[in-house]
Amino acid sequence: MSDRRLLVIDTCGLGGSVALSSAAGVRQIELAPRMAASHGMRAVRALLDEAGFSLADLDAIAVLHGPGSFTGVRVGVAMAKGLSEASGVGLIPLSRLDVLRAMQPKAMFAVLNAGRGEFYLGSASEQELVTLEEMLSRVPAHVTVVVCEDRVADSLDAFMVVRVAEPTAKCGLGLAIEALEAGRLVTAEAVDALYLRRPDAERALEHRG
Amino acid sequence: MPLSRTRTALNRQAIYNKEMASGLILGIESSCDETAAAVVRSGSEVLSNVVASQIATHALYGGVVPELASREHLTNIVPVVRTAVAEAGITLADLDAVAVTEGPGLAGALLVGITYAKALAYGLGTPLIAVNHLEGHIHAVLMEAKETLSLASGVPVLALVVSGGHTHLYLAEERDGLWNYRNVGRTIDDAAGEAYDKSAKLLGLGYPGGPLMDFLASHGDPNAVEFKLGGIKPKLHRDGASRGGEFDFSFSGIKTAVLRYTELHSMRERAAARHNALMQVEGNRREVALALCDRETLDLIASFQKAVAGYLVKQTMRAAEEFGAGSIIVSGGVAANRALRERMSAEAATRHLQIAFPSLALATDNAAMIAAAAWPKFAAGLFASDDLNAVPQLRLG
Repeated sequence: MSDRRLLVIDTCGLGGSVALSSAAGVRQIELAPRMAASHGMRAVRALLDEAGFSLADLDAIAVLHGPGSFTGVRVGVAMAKGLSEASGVGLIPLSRLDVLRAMQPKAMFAVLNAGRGEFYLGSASEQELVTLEEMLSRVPAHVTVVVCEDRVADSLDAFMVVRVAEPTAKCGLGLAIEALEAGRLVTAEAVDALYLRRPDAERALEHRG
Repeated sequence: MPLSRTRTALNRQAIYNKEMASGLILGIESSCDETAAAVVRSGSEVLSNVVASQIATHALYGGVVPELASREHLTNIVPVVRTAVAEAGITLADLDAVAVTEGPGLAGALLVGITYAKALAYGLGTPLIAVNHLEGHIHAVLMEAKETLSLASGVPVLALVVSGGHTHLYLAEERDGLWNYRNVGRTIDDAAGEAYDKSAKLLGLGYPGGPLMDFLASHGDPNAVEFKLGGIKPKLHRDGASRGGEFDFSFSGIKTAVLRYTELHSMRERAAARHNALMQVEGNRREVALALCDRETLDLIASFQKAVAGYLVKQTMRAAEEFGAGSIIVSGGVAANRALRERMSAEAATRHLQIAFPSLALATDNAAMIAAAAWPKFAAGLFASDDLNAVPQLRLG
């Protein structure tokens, strides 16, 4: 257990969670579905109050910055940015695909449901939005793929799929501590959402033009 | 919600004990397509007013695209707030409170500003203040005109908030330091600014069309085409209450009338050609647009402008008379319209009513108005909790 003090925010999914890690251990508060916007801040306050230290005492704030629900992703990133600007604590943006991949050490790829028959596909080298056909052409048949959703597991029966629970904030701690030790902290201005999917309007405009 | 209640109590205590309050409020506004931040001292002295406009992005689509707006807000929010704080010559630690627009507006867009403001206020240990965007528009004028308007107690102010998203009439009155509002009229369909934008689009003038239409109107004959506005028939609602009050507005008719006129006079092809030519222009499009408009188009625009401004003036004056208002304030993006300013001022003078408009920088969406509207709430200890959320359909009064 690291004695570094880290706050991790994840509001990419339907619900969300906030975790605080310190020498005393890891505490996590889970947010009810669709309540990240209204209850996220309250959870951060509760965790810090309980631990007895302030925002400025943190070594870093990590945020899962996507991919996932566009609004959910923005809530987490906006919260992390505000906390960082107010306290001067550096940020660590974490890809939800990287966090998912780290949950299964053998996995070369992580896949998340992107809706509309599409998927978010992540490896150590690339993260992208793909169709099933594109995924079949990119992922070799013998490698391990980690997933956390039924729909995705069902679609990928051609692969060696390992199904894990949906990642929560504390699942990002390993990667966050690694980034912190390596000094990979960034300022609030440098963090943006990792959407992977472009806005529909942009695609439609391109199609028309 | 015990946590938030404790928080509010603590904040009030902190303020009441704070003898050396700076009076500095940071306002944040992200309800539509402008990311804005401003620092205002004691509700009246604007130390900075920063607006990152997304017009160029949305112009390509002929209107505001909510998902694009939300994305730009998230990218812009940190640099915009940093600039507002730097331009005010202060640091975040000097702030007494953070104020943010809670609605009405686009949910995803509002959420960026609200979430950022909540986190910032928490981190700074300052109170968070939620502001209604429409109240902000009213304060945009009040903050500048407090000196010139003699606001007598018991005599209400009538506020016309008119923009691309809103057309509302409010009676506003200050009681015990706090402002109270009563909505006495609203559009039952399009906002006035929306009618401008839609008509501009029909004429190939692009988005946003209001300012360009205003410019072109002065080059046409306002009496060339007769448009009729108003005449809302009160409809009985299911609950028995009538919809469409005496001081309500309707702008969908004039939009249809413009469409019909362009079709009858075979203007569609000319409009398409104009649109294509204007899309190539970077920077100021006014003179190019003027050169691209034939007499018939200019006359149509001038007539449209006359009809819309006249209608807004008529409804506002009727309401002022009905409710015994002593002064009128006009705010929102359409308050920058020259015809509206001229005709409203002239009519107010005839009726011996005081009138005030915002300066150009405060007419369109901005955050100084949010910080200004937050000031009376700050003084009264009316703070928002950690659970503040976006209210896209938030009403005032």
